[in-house]
Amino acid sequence: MTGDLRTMFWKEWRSLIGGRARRQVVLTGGMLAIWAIWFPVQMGGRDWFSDPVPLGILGVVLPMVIVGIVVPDAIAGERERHTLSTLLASRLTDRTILYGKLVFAVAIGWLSAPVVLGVAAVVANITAPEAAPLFYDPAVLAGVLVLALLVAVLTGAIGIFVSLRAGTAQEAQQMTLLGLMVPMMLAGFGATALFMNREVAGDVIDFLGGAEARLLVLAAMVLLAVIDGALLMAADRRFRRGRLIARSS
Amino acid sequence: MAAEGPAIRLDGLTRTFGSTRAVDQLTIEVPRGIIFGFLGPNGAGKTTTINLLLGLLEPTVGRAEVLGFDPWRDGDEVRARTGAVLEHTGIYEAMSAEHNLEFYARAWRMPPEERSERIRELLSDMGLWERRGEKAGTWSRGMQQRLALARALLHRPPLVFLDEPTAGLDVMAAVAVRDDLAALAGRVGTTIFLTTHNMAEAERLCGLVAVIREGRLVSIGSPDELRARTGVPRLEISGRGFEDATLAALRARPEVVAVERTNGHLTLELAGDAEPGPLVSLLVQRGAEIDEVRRGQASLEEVFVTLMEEES
Repeated sequence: MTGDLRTMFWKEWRSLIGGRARRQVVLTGGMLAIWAIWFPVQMGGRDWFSDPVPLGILGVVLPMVIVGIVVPDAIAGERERHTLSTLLASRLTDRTILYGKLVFAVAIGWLSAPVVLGVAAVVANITAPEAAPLFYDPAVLAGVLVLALLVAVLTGAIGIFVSLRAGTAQEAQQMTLLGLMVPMMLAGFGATALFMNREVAGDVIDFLGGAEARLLVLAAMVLLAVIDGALLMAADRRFRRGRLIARSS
Repeated sequence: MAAEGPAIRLDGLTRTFGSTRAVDQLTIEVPRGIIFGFLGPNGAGKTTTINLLLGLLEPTVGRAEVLGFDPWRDGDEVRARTGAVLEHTGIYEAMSAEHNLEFYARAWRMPPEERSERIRELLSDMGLWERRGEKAGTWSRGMQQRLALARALLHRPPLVFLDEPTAGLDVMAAVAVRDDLAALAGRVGTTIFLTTHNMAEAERLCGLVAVIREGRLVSIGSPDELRARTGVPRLEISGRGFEDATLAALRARPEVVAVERTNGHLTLELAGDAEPGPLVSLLVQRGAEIDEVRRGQASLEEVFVTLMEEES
């Protein structure tokens, strides 16, 4: 199984660097990398390291976008390019194919988080130098990276379900990313509206600085992990040769 | 795995999609080491049958046995021992030809040294070695088809499924693929399950042929057997002086079913075991000059058309 998974990673990597998803990943990643420079410059060095909200946004959005591009391209894209049925006719098991694609996408998506946060840390230190170099609070950084992993898995699992039904890779990518972005944007608008009231904003900031906030974030992560696990189990049941071929027959 | 016995055995195999019976009560045995032609018009159920045999679809009724395994229950065993070029080549166009083969060689768990040796051997045999580093998407359809064939043969499977491997190829590319198949069957004794629309291809390559229509088996046998069973005996005569009155006299004979004249060539379709002698005498008596007389057989294409017409 491990050797077969490595084989799938090898193939997914080759397909990605030679295929059309590469351009999409480079363009989107490039835009977010510009954010990684712009955010710390705008906020100033010390503020960038002390405010977990923009850090979280940057660390979570990039993996989500990358996984939301790569997973649909790897499943709906294979079907669209007529390579899926040949892959299913090989001796690789359903699980190897599914997890090979999912783990590869989640791995490269998640790895983008420490990279982009590292770039932001360097930029923040260069643009607003201090006596000693500044870095993220280890607990906050660990939280963001765990959250990035959980969101990447969530995106991947949703991407699998959408890809099983979508006609094209592009349709699957749009549906996956819209399905995640819309609730996030609504939450963002809600938070902005809340912060327009100074009193409420002060209370929220106090709360975020307190121990209860950390517990709340931890609980949210556990909930997200449970949702990820449930979605993965469901994807595992649905990603079967018989279903995939019958759909295209 | 049963070492002896047929490569494929179907027993009342049926698959429905909603109210459509894509494969309907197929009962066939394919011996090992032959090229088996599976013929039928578009939508006859050829591709669905291959999917059933590879364990990619579950039969609705009936059962199949491939190399001694039930493809639905033991699909992994079947797929480990078979190669396939399906309806589409399945080539990764963004990857080089060599990487396409490398991926599947890894998937078949071939050791690294054997992998590279086998890839070199197959690409060289197919005349593709010099261009192995090019992206397969830049290749012609014929080259991609040959690459797909190489991929199906990588792990030296005893059984290969080929779904219309020459469809859409130009004449030269199709000839090259057919030569590869003939060499393969002759050299290593691989069983080949070949679906095709091309009757000349089936006639040239296949030792056993099954014709299906709307998922049902219409006829099965060697090309000669099918011709004998279905084809009309004929007489082909080359020469000059085949006047209209002479043709009318031929048509009046009870043993002559049809007469056709094209460019100094006469084709007579005969009833039963009619003897050619009296017909040739009649032509000579009426002043025709005859260069050659040959007993002819219906082509597999004509047999196919006859079978389709009988069924409809």
